[in-house]
Amino acid sequence: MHKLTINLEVNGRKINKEVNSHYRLLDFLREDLDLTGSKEGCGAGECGTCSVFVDGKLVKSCLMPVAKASGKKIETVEHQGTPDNLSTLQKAFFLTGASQCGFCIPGMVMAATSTLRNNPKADIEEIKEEMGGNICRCTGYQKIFDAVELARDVISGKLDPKALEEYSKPEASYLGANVKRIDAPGKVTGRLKYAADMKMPNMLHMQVFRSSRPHAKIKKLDLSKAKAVSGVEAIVTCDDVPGIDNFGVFIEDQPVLAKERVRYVGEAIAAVAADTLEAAKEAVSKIEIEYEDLPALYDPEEALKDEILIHEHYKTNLVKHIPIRKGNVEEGFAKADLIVEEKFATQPVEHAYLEPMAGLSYVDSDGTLVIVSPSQNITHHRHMMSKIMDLPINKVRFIMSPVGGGFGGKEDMIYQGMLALCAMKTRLPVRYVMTREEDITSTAKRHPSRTNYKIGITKDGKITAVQIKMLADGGAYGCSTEGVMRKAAILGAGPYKIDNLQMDTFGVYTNNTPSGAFRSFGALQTEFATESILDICAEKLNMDPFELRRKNMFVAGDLTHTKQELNSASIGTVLNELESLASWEKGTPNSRGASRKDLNGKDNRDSCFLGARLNEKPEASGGVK
Amino acid sequence: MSLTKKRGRGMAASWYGISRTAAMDQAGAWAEIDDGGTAKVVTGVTEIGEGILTVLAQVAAEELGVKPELVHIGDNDTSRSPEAAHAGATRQTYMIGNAVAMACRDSKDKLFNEIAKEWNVEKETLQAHDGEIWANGTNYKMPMSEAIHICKKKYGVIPVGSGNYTSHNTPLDPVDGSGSPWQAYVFGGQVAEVEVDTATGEVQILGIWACHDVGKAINPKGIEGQIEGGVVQAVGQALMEDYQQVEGHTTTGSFAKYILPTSLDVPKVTTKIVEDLDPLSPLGAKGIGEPAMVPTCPAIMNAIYDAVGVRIQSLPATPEKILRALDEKKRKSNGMAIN
Amino acid sequence: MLRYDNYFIPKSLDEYFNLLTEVKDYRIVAGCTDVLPWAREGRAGNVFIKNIIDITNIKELNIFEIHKDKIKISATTTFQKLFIDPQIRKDIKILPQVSVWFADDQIREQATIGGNIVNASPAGDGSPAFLTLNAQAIIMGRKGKDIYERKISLDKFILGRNKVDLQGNEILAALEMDNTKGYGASFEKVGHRRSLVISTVCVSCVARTDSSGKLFDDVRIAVAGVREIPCRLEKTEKFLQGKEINEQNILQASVLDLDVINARSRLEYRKEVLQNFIIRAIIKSVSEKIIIKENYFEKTKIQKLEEVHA
Repeated sequence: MHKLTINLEVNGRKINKEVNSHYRLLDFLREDLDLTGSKEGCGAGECGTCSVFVDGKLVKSCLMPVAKASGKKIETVEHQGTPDNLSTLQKAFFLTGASQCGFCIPGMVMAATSTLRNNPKADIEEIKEEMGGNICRCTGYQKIFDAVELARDVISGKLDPKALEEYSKPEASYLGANVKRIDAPGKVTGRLKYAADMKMPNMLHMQVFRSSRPHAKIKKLDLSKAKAVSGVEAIVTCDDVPGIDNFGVFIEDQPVLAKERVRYVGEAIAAVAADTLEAAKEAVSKIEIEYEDLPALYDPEEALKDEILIHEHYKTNLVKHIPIRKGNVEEGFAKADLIVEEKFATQPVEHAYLEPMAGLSYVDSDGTLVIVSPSQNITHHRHMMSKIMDLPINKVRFIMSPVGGGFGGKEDMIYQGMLALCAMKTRLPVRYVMTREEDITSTAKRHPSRTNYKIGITKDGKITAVQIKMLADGGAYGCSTEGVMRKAAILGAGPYKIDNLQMDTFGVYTNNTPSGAFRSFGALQTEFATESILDICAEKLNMDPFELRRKNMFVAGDLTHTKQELNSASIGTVLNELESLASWEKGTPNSRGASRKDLNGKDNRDSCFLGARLNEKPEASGGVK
Repeated sequence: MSLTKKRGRGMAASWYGISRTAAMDQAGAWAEIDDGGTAKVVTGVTEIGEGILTVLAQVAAEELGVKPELVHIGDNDTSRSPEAAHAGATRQTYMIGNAVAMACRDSKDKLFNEIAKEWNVEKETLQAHDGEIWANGTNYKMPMSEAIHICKKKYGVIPVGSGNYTSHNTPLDPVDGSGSPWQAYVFGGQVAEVEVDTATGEVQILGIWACHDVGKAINPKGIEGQIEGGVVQAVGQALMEDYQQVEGHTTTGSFAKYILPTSLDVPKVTTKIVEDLDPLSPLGAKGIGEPAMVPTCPAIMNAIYDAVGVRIQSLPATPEKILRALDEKKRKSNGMAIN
Repeated sequence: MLRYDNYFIPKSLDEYFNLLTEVKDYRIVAGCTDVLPWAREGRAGNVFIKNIIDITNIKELNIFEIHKDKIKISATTTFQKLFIDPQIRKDIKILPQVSVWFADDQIREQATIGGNIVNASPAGDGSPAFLTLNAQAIIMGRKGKDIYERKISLDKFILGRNKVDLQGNEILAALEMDNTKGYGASFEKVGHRRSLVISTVCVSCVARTDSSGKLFDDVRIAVAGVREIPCRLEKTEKFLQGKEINEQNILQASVLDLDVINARSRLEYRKEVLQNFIIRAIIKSVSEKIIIKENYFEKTKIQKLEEVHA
């Protein structure tokens, strides 16, 4: 690899070093200096997890070739403070609870530091604008804003620094107290090591060769040129799996590496372990494949016809149908004064955890296979891994590394199998870090759904019958589809007493990217339909939406849609509290926005325009000769 | 420019089940009151960002009578810690929180056995809080660090506790779906206030009021954080996020194309926690991770309808969809044929 | 992943032109904020280019001159410079306005105006603003030992998607633009969010009234995002020249150039937003002075106009 020599100062330390010429500043900081507080969330300047100061200006270090940084002064998050000596901003982040998974937080601390250096009196609009290049997927930004405003007020002298320590120890009980997050100091200082930050001696780097076809037979896979690349230690395919080659959250239908056929674009086919990332990438580019394209399915309605089968041995594309029956819907609709029928749809959604998938695998001296990864379900993963690797469970050890956001996306064991194969084959530690693009295209999404909804209701607002049918695209593999269909079915009709219910949810295979577990797991899709149609009904019935819900809500002792007796049901309290919290003006939901009086209250943010830092608001800059 | 910007409000309610669905759920933990009055808790869990480590430290502190900052929580490791199963399904606080509580009670009981002997009092009179242990109705009181020293050195006992918690969820009947999929349910509701720019179709969510039952709120600030984060993920789903594929090939394969909410797109969130304690579990806590984002999308769509009279039934409500719907509405009200 | 063997940072034009004769297989870069994301999966993938030549340290390109009528700034000027420079903020209001919509603060610290122009993306935010300032591209090249300079108007310089008029060893050295002191300005943009986002439609407008404040004196509007090459809206501008500032004229003007739209997708949406943006941008660029000084275009009228359109 070509090298170049750079001279620079990093966190006050002068460095003269030979580096890989193609390195970005981020690579140099992480790989050569082990300053892993700067993270790689996207590698394309879109997320801000890698923000550092270069000569006092905050930049995204993934967008700066290291050569450009030569002669400059670099300041990273590691320079801002240590867990036992936090900077003012870090203390504020700690106090307000601004860090959750923590992966975006070093970048956020840097962006906040830059904001307050540029203007120690920045108002909230300026803060939001200046931090607009840093994405957080966990916190909703609220507590981050709180932290920056708090730090600003301390720095400007408006608040006593004691405000940063403020924490009143509870007298009676720690349960119910706002104990400060114990993991925060390690996160706000960038000291916590996520899987991609870990290194071991003689560690290899894994890269994956992936399908470019949505549905095809693999006719020929030629690894010879790839194997010849200098530095390659192992290439694994499905032929290397010693045990039962299947995994999945509910049904085990997915091979570690594609076997004979590929079912979606991005499916893993072969994995290369090499002594450098560059060699592994080069080897992947030299793998040769011949496909025989098969007819593919992209539409779940089409999939239901079973004319093309994605998994032939199942003889159907239906992954799961969950039926729920209560009462008699025909009778219920007959009693209704109003029947509304509507269709709803939701899109596939990416988890977009800021930490891309990453893992490290090695074989211990006693022969135990170890996998370190941000897995959300190491218990189940070790069961599957022991079958795949044909090892007793005590010889498979999963360690859950800090998870930089999961939201259900890290429940699937989609790369740990490949890592294990490479580690077993080479008996060397192997690390794999997905790029953002690889992660987006190859990992599971929230199930896109289409829902047909029919509701019958009396003129005084009592629901008499509900009929719901939801069809969801499960994509190429089962993942969590079964569970998602179940939760969508159980919860879909909402927290309402419905005597006559017919609910069906269907999840099917297609050749789209698999759908899997995602926070709110099916309930988001079906409850969206229910809560939308209830407002449609409320308008037709000339009724306040809270009122309509109160007329139907569960109370303790009611039977749920699955005929379970509820020991408690707080929905009444919740609706009352919500109505008063929002100072809701009662009325029919008939597009009355223009006339309602409860708008523009203090708990809204201001409408956003850009240019908070311009002297003149862009709203009016009129010119005259 | 204000007249092209229309405001409106909408609401939605929701419910959710806690822990694994329609299947027995279980979690285990070990606890040990350790030298210096510290504590060690080992269970199969690591932070995924939701704040579980802090919750567990609070539970252990409360149950053992030590300070939360003196609780060390071991790593999640299938070979070195008891099974606590997966970090999902809004089960962490409910399942593992209760398992840790049970393990701590076991550990404390073992310590109390020895201290009761030491002081020659009934075990039931003993209490511990915040690093001190005392016997009610007596003058006996000492720091936890001393108590553990006595327990070990004088009586030869290391107070190691173990605990387990089970949620007896039952499978659904395959024909009519009947069953008890969860022990504990939570309920929630949200109001959204939006501003729709009818010149561009852009929607800004200005405020969300979120009210959620979480059972016993162990760390209210952490719960607020979960609600705020859930709301904003749902704002993304409601307005901009859309993973798209053409014949199986993604066209949104990077963060330049897959659009997430930034600091400029998020509402102010006002939270109210309702505590309807779970009657079946030791802590009374339930959960909030997933339920937080369930009512947001419909509340926003209902608010858009309130503001401009168009109802988006296919997510996300992009500027283009909104303008198209506004045009259709205009055509309809002009009595022109649609299509 | 972008890989290369050498990264050159020439310090003078001579050194730069010499390099071009010495090395083969090279790519010229400035801020690098486009080239690094380009060499990733889903776009160019793994790319190997033997030599990278970085022009941001060439001393002759360190130009930042603000004169009474014209400003001349080097191609390597960053967008953040346009955002924070006090003189620019005061006199050439369109530049900070477009800058605040451009990517984010951190990318603006690196991204250069020359890079934005030379990439010639149909959705580039910078070019429409420069077009409204009658920008001239100053191009430098070397023939034999002689360094020459030529000037070409920006609209002629941009030839198409990712195509500009650079011949042989030529380099875009600087932009010369009008100093629009006294002009109002407005930059309108819509994408899927408000920060770090690609434009679906963007409109740049600089304008001033005559001394009475009743007539349009000079209105310049340019668009991007809706067609392959950003362009000025000539019919609209011409129509407004000397016309009375009123609702009817603005509405009439707003439809004259809608046929410039030549996007690959979302035509109807772009058309509707473009018209709304033209109206909004004109009003914003001329309204303040008129409302305050002349009380001519009173608030209610603006509101009515918007209502008509909404």
